[in-house]
Amino acid sequence: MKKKLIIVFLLFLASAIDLNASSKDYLYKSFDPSFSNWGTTGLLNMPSARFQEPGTIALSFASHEPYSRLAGVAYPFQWMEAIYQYTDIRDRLYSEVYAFSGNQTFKDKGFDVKFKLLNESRFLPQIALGFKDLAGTSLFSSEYLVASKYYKNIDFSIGMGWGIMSNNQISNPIGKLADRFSIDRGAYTGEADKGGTFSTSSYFRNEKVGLFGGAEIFIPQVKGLRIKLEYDSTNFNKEGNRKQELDSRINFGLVYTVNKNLSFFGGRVRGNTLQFGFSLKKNFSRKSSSIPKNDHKILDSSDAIKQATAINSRYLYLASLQYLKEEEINVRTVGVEDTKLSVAFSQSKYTSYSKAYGRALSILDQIAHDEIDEFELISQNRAFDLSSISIMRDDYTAFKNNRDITTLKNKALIDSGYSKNSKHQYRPAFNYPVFFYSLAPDFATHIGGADRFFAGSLDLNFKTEILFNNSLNLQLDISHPVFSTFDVLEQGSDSILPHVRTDVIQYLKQGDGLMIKRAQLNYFQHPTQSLFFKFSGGLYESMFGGIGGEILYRPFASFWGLGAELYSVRQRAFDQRLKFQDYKTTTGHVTLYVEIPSTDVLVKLIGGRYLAEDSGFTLDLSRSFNSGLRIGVYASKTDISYEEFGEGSFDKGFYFYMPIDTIISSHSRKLTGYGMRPLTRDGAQRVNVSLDLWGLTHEGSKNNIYDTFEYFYD
Amino acid sequence: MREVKTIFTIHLNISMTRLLLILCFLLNSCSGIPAEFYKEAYLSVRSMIGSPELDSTKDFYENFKFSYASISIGNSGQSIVVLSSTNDGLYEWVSEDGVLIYTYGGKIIQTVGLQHDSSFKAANPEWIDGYKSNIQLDLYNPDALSLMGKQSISFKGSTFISHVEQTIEVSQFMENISIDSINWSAVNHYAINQEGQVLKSIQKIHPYLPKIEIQYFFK
Repeated sequence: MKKKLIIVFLLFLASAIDLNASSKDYLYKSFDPSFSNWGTTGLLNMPSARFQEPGTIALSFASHEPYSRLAGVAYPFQWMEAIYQYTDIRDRLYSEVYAFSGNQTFKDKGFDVKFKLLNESRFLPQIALGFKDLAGTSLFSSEYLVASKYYKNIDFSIGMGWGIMSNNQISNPIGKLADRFSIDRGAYTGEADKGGTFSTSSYFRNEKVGLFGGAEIFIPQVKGLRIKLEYDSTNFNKEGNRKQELDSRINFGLVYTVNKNLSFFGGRVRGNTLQFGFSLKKNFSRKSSSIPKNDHKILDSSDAIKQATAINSRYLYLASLQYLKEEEINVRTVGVEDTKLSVAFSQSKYTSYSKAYGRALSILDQIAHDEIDEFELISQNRAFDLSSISIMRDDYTAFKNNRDITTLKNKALIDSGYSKNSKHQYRPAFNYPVFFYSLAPDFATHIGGADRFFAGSLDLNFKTEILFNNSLNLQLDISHPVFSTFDVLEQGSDSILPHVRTDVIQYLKQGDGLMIKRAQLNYFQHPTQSLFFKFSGGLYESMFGGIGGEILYRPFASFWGLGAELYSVRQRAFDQRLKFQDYKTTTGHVTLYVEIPSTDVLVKLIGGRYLAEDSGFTLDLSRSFNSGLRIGVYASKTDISYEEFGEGSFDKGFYFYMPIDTIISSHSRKLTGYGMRPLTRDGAQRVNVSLDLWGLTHEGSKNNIYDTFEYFYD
Repeated sequence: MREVKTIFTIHLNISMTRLLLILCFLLNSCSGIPAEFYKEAYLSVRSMIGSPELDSTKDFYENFKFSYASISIGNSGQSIVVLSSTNDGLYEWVSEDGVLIYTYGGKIIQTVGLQHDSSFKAANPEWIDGYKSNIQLDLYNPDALSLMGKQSISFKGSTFISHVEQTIEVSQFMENISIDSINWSAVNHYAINQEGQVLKSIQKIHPYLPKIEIQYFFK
């Protein structure tokens, strides 16, 4: 075996091709590392130390008997990979009780992470440390240390695996540091039986560990094609808690990259099993990651308009009103003082306030007469004066010529918008109420149930928001199912806590007619520069309605904020119309928000009383990107025991969301995203009240405007 | 006249990956599906199956003030570029969204503003059977500059094409381009009238751009 490996290694070296940076991009459709059967960036069954670019979201599917694995992969940092995956184990039933799960095969949920420890340099490899099936059921639980190094067009990886990735080749080197690491982890699996806990005491325990390695070779003559070859250190006597036939530890396969984002792969593993799959990824971190929108409006009659606006300030006000309206920027007030034009506006077109400022200024510069030498723009959202930006016209003119956004950013004065428009002379009257609405199909899904892995419904969804004035609005969200498969779901709740979430199947099944998903009345106030207030009442979400409010202290230029919310809620009837069930409670939390400077990381520490009347804390960590993408994880611990919580032991999950204008060709402030809990239980659950104050004020915060100033003329 | 679409947007609309992403979000979104998604999915599908052709009738030609060209990239719909200047055989064409296309003797030798631009140097073809020349090529996004390659021209006989509601006899020439350093080659086709003007052409000018079909309407 060693001779074979050495021969293969030498063949690879001989086939390596020198590359220069420019031609590499054309010889290969993509030089990005590819995904493994496990969703991680790697070889076939084995991982590598490679990572995709930060901000990348990926979906990976692989199938090889007896497994099919679907993985969602996220890269919040250049040093971190996080994977949530479902594994369908086709040679095992979901349960032995037919009445419970029928013929459904076993589904295992797993969470994997990988951390980069060292960047590759000329002489040193890239090194990563990874954990598979972390806090899971231990069917695939492993830890590994892996190093990867490019040699020309070949990416070599070599590593060491513990747990399922150990086929017991060499003594555990960590065992020399402490004896407890030399004891086989089999004795410690008891901790993981509860599922969902981090069984840290079993990590890196093995009397012997496994060695693995391999290479990914990029074929220059066949664009998009790669060959993968690896030595697999998996313990096939234990993987999935049973023995699998093994004919060879040499796995090989091909990867075909259709383009930078889409790849298909196939190969042979264990010497006797074919595997195939695909991966789909996209880097959402970049500014205008998919669709640039160079739609700056150029007014043909700019000179004539300037002549008109020079007649008096009212004409300047009227022109601002008209031409900004055409850009879907709603002027709220206008002030003209000597040579300064000040405009307060709201808008629901651009995700980025910097971009809204840029578009507004572009219009004002084309209509304001030549005497105007300073522009002040104030952005407002509902009753909130969020921020203001002042730019001298000469600076803007210079920017138009040189496109030096850094200089403009340094010369612009960014400040709080609070009461900045109190002396404005012109205040257009609005014809309230104002209606916004949309009617569109919608999907509801339930994934991972015992009755059926996937059930869903196609709904017709009507959303509307009615503005009664700047401070008062009503959100209405109504759905009606068109087609549904939720009827097959039977699994009831086994929770010993109040069923605040675990009756979800009843909500899905009984929501078979007109459903009011939300009917929420909101009242907003901005009493001082740093204090924001919201009162909300009505049907907050499918499961709860009530009355309550939120208050946020957020100094304009600070990296932190402190919020508090208190709601008296009652559980809604399963049909999601106007009736309520008996269960009611008071829930409330205090939240400390901290943006860690220079990292784009937001830490939310939330403490209080949850829906099931348990008390405790939630820690939410998320990373944002300039595109608006946010990737986060959270975990909660409350004053209920693991046994009271049930399977999963404590509440945890991950999410990502992003502005949809990163993948569509028009502007939009709407977000889309995906959130996943391994298990939805009743502990540590909060009521979902829309329009949270941190979210409403974030885009207009000083830090965010500085961070996204590059969008000013995007 | 139909709406003149922007070249840049048309090209991006044909991204299959984008369609897949949109479909993934349609199925997985936890926060409801914004209505914009449906419109975008429709646009993606429509652009993948092609768009209607622009008006090429005699009336349109005669009512258009300037020389122009209809252009389509891959299976996108057609758009129009207008001749903005000429200089010693070099023609500059501009689209509504500011994309610049430079042609010499009917061959696209430079683009500015496409998703993947390119610039040919010393690649001005002579429509002579057996003509061969060395060329230099700059590629952008990603950048690969001063790539050396070869160009050869071969005559492929005569045929008839429809041009402004007329049937015109044209000579067909084929251009072979090869850039060994990036293992790329392209075969381009030109239809040339008896005055030696290229009327219609299909060209590949960048490894990452689909073929460009261009038809010239000179005044």
